[in-house]
Amino acid sequence: MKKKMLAILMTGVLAAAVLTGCGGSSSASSTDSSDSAAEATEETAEETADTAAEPAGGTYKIALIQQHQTNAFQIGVSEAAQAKADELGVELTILSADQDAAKQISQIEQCVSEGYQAILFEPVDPDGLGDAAQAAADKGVIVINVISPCTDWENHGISALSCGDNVTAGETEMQHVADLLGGKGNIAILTGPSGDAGGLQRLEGYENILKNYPDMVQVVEPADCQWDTATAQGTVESWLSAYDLDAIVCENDGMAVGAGNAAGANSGIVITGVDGTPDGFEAIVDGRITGTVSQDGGAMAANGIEAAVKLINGEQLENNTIITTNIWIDANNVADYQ
Amino acid sequence: MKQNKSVKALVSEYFIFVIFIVLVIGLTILKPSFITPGNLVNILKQASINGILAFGMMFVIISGGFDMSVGSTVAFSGILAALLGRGDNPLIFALIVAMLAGLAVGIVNGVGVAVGDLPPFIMTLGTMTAVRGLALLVSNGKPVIGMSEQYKAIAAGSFLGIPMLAIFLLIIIVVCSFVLAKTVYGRRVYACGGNLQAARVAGINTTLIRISTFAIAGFLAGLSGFLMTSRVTIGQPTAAESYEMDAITACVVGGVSMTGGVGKPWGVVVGTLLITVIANGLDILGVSSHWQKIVKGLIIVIAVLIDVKGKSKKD
Repeated sequence: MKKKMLAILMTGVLAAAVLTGCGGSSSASSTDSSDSAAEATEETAEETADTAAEPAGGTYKIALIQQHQTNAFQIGVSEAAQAKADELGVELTILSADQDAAKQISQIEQCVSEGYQAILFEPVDPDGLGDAAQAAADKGVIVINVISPCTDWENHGISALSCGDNVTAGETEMQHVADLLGGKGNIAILTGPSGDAGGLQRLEGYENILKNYPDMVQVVEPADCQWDTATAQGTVESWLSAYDLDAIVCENDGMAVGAGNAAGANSGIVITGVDGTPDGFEAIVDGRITGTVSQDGGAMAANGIEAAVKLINGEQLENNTIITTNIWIDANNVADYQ
Repeated sequence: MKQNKSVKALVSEYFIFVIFIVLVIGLTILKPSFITPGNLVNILKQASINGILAFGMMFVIISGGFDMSVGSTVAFSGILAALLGRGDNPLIFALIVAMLAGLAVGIVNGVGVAVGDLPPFIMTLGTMTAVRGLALLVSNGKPVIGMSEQYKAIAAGSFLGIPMLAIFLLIIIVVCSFVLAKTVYGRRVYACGGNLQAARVAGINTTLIRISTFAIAGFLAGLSGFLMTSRVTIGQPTAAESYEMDAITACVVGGVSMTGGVGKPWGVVVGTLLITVIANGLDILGVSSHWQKIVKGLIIVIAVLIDVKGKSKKD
């Protein structure tokens, strides 16, 4: 009897664990995933931003479905979205898809049936969410794609796209590396999980720049370090005992910090990341990494919410692709962002 | 005839050791920088955290259990250590809290399995999910930064040329090997995994033994969390993803039987070194990380195959 009770209790605990898992911020997903897109200081988005619409009659219900909520980038997205929603006086519900495309589809369906006027989402998979977006749009819900674009998004009922550009972010990063090395040297690249769309786009950006610098040589294959600091640290430690590297180019700040730990502070090796997260800033300040290309996920979400409100009001968008630009942050200007 | 059999048994027992030696020689020939002192220090550093986890896992598996939750526990205790390791707090405080947090998770696992009669896989799958949630909750999903210099120095430091991380591992190896091989408690752990009913009939408090093995695994995961944060200099709620799998791999490759009751500490040491050397060696050779996954997968299957074949011969 006692045992049975305990078993029931344990099941309860487990169920609770699973439920909280679905509820929001848990999920054992890998770091970063596609922290796609870019930073906004002189955003092309200003046009839409300045003329923010007043909600007419009653409070608008808007949902934001994030890819996950497990890193600084995504938490920045949540906070900025909430701040913008408060500013515009709309009711915002934030959900996390926990890196699960199937879950994200269910969440979109759920939001449609609960009567949300607009749904913003960052697709877990660029190809997997199109039909769900189309179905929601067919029911009259305004669907806005934020942070990383769905493939062929215009043809899936999506009204607007607010994102950065990963290719440009990659190009910005590699261009700075090329300038710092004088266009010549041994480089190595650390990537996110193989096949991640954001990561592949950043890699494309790297290659676009490397074409112009035949003397910048990749001495090792790009290593898949899963956005993870510890993995990157181990890989770079191993590399440094066998290769003479002048630069280590990383697809996110977490891995750049790992590379910086392996090389040590002021190692003379150019180490760069993408994202502009607090751990990256700390490493820039103490000289472990050289710089990062900041991605303002918060601005992407905020611009998306503004666009949603406009569309609910029946207004037109001047441009349904809202791109935030990215900026290079190094020891000279890091203090402005910390 | 009899001698022939024992030779085969011997080969199967030391097979993994032979593979390890061959691998080291092969890598040295392919890339001489593999064997430089600097790289050997790298290997020790990279093996340490997984080694400590693998030793905890060894207790659990030998007693007939299985622990999926250690990766999440490393992340959770690492976050706690990171939060406490900021500013001027004495580090011992962060270390103790991290280990106690790990211990608590371990005890919950152990009670669920030994008292609640839940399959270890299910119980620890539950804690794996829930504890990852705790890590995210406590850190608000963000990396924790601002560790004190002295905390960062622990994993970066060395003693007589041996990295501090490896010294932690060495202490754990010595203590755990002694406990498992030379104490009554150690023999009871084997007895629980060999045949739980028989152990119970023989008067062993199997419930307590099984809880204690999970507690050891949790405790060592807590220690690993503390060290991990020092090594990467940030507390990350998403860190140590699938570390449980690496720990299980080290055990299985090192000859710890998944059915319980069988396994030797030195095997786990070799298993840990083997998977570290594969990763390090392939990195040094500049081989794509996709190949590392394939090689690691093959080694697991081959090791277990040898294990199973060796056993059927002994029967």
